Order: sequence, then structure tokens, then C-alpha cells
Amino acid sequence: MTAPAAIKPIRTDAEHRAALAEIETLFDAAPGTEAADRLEVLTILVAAYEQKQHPIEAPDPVAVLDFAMRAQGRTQADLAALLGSRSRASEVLNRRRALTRDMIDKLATAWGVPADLLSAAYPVRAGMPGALKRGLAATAVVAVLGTAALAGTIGGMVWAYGDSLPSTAELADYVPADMRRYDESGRLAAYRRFVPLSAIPAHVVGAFLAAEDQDFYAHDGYDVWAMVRAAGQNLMHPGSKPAGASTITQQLAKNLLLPGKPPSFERKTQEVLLARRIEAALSKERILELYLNEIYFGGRAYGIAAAAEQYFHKRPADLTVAEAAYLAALPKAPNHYRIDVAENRDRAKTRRDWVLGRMADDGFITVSAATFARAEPLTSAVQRP
Amino acid sequence: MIVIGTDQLQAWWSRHPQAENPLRAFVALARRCGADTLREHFAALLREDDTGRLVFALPGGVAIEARLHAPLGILRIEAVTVTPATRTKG
Repeated sequence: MTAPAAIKPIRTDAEHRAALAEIETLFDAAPGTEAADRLEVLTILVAAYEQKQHPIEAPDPVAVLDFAMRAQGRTQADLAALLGSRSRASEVLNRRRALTRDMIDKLATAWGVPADLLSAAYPVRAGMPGALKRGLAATAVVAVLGTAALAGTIGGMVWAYGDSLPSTAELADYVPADMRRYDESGRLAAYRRFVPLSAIPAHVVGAFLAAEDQDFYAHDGYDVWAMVRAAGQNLMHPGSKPAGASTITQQLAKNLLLPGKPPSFERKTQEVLLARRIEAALSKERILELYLNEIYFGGRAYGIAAAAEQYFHKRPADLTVAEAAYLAALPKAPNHYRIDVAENRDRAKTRRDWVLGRMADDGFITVSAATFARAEPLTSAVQRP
Repeated sequence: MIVIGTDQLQAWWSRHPQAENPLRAFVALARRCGADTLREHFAALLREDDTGRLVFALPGGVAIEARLHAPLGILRIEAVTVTPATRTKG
């Protein structure tokens, strides 16, 4: 038997091959033996050579997370449960939202995914059409239509309502027009100035997503479970103001394509149908851009630029977190929360602070940023008695 | 854990680019695993044959055949192959 070769750093492919061959013969060595010691040293030398010649760097954190989930047999629903929100999970996996320190800690603690592999910087897309829950949405549609069939005539009503809907095709090139409308006495009564989504900061967009549609990037225009929940609430509290559960896309459909139509089952059905068509025709970013430029903010303000101007004398790009949260509080009931009306201010601040909490929950801002923002007084540049 | 035999991986993903991220992630995670937690962390991808060889059926249609020396914490990649269709569902 020949004596084992001396231990020395591996410098060539031939030495690497020879070391691997020897490792193979030693691989069953029992711990504590000379053979095991030699195996261990050879392995370290081989690993060092391979790392130098063929370095294998980790992929970016989303690829690591995706792989780790598959390796452990986990699903997006598991991730949603861990991160506390379906939209958060969807956006992380689709690179629309960066992993926060809190998320990384949870993944490391609960699933054992090494924090250092999740901490590297990686590009986050501004967004793209979310198709992640298409299967679920399709199932939901089937469930909705099935329920309608059981009810007897609702399916036919859906068909009838859908048949007379306006077209969504022209929305692809539609740009909300800048507008200045004056009343009979010459005072400005309605104002809109279009601003592209690229000029609206992420925290402003995040405020609206948190306040109005946490699952925006995950749904196909409507959220059937939210509608079921809202229907349940309306049944439980028949005297109160009905809950709507409209997604951002449904709100856009209502504002753009069904203006002035009073609330009804027919309008709700049409909203859903139009929302699906809008989602099929436009990107999520485009939907957001149209929504933010179309919605009514109370007073004379239509669209985010007019609202920022009306309430804070600012451009959207200059809004603080607290101001963004306040504006995101408005679409629910614009004239109920306008702070240029004194009696609204307490409830407006309550609603703004609620939005800030949702923004922190969804990772758009940190918890401490929300705390500081809550401490800011809510005042408008324009005060009315 | 020390992972060796990684010299084969780049050659593989240069021919099968869809396997690059899974292979990189596999190595990164395996290096950070203990021998005692390896099976837990790769439970959904891993099977073990009668001889003790570990076969990881990774996303991207690639399978890694490896041997584990648990007491020394060594994972030796023996072969990189196409994942048989029957394994990709695992």
C-alpha cells in the first residue's frame, strides 16, 4: 500500500480530481480515526479550491426564499400566514416589495432561512400585472356564479348587466384631463391636474394600498371574500352605512365608467365585471395611476395632485408620510374627513392614524415612522370654519 | 456544512440556465445547514436511496446526487443530472 500523499493546498484541476478520488475512498471513515482526519482536511482543501475556481454565490433573497419554500414544501399561503398578509407575501415573492428586517427575522426564526441570505440588496420592481391568484379568482368566480345559479335568476341578471357595459378598451390610452371648473360666481369649483405614477412617491402609493386595497397586487380586480365579509356586515347591521369592499380597480370602474350610478346590486355586479375587464386590459401600475388621478378628495379636488395642493399646498412628491396617510383616508368618505372643515378634524385624525397603522402593518413604513407620524398634528393649509 | 463537488454546477447551469438560481440557492442553504437539519430543510425535495445516497430534485429540472458524512458535516455532490419527471412532483 502506498503512503497517503502529503497534505498541501490544491492548485490544479489534476490535484483536485486526485483529492476527490481519495475523498471517495475515505468517505465512510469513522469519526476519530486517522482516515477521518485526513478526509476532513482533504475536504477543506477541495472546498477552498472549488470556491476559488468556481465560486457559487447565493442568488438574490427572493430566489433564496422561493427555493427555501419549495425545499420545505411551503406555499404562498404559509408565507402569508407568517408575514401577516396575503398582499405582503404576494408582493415579496413578485419582487414588488423588499423584505423588511422584521420579515427576515420571522423567516429566520420560524423557517430557519438564514438571515444573511435574505438581507442582500435586490431590485424591487415598481410593479407588474399580478397573476398570482388567478386560479383562486377563477375559483371564486365559479363560486359566485354557482351561488347565483342556486339563487335562481342572478346568473341571468349578471349576463344582462354585463351586456350593456361601457367598453374598457379606450382606457389603455386614456389620460385624465387637467380640469378647472368654476361656479356661477367665478370661484374654482373642481380642479384636477394629472400627475404620472412615476412622480408619486412610494409612501404615497403605499398609503392608498394600505387604506383601500391591501391585496391590490394579488387580486384580479375584485376580492370575493371581502365582498362576502361586507355582505355579512351589512346583514348584521342593517341600519348602518353599507360596507362596500370595493377594490381600487372596482372604484376606478365606478368612477370612470359608471359615474353617477346610485348604489345597487346591478352597479356592484357591473363594477366587478368592469374591474375584471380593466385588469385584463391594463397593468397594475396603469390602474393605480388612473385611480390616483381620478378619485375625489372632497372640496374641489379630483386626483392626488389637486388634493395635495388643496389640503397642503404641495406637490405629491413633497407629501410627508402623515400627509399621505391623511389623503389616503379621504376616498372612503371625502366630505366626512375634510380637515378644512373644523368639525371633521378629530375623526380625520383618527382615520389618518388608522391608515398609518396599516402602512406599518404592510411594511410600507416602519413602526417607528408610523409612531412619529401619528404625533404630527393634522392641519390643512386651507382652513374653513 | 462543507459542500464539495460544486465545480460541476456552473457547467450545468451554463447549459440549463433555468437551473442556475436553484443550484445557487441549494449550495447557499446547504452550506448553512447542519447535518442534523439538512433533511428537515430539504424535506420536500429530498429522497434517499437504499445505499444512503441523497437525491435532491430541485426546481429547474435538475437533480443533485450526493453523499452525506454527517459526523464530519460533509456533503459531497457526486452527480448533477436531469430530474426524472417522476421526481419533479415530489
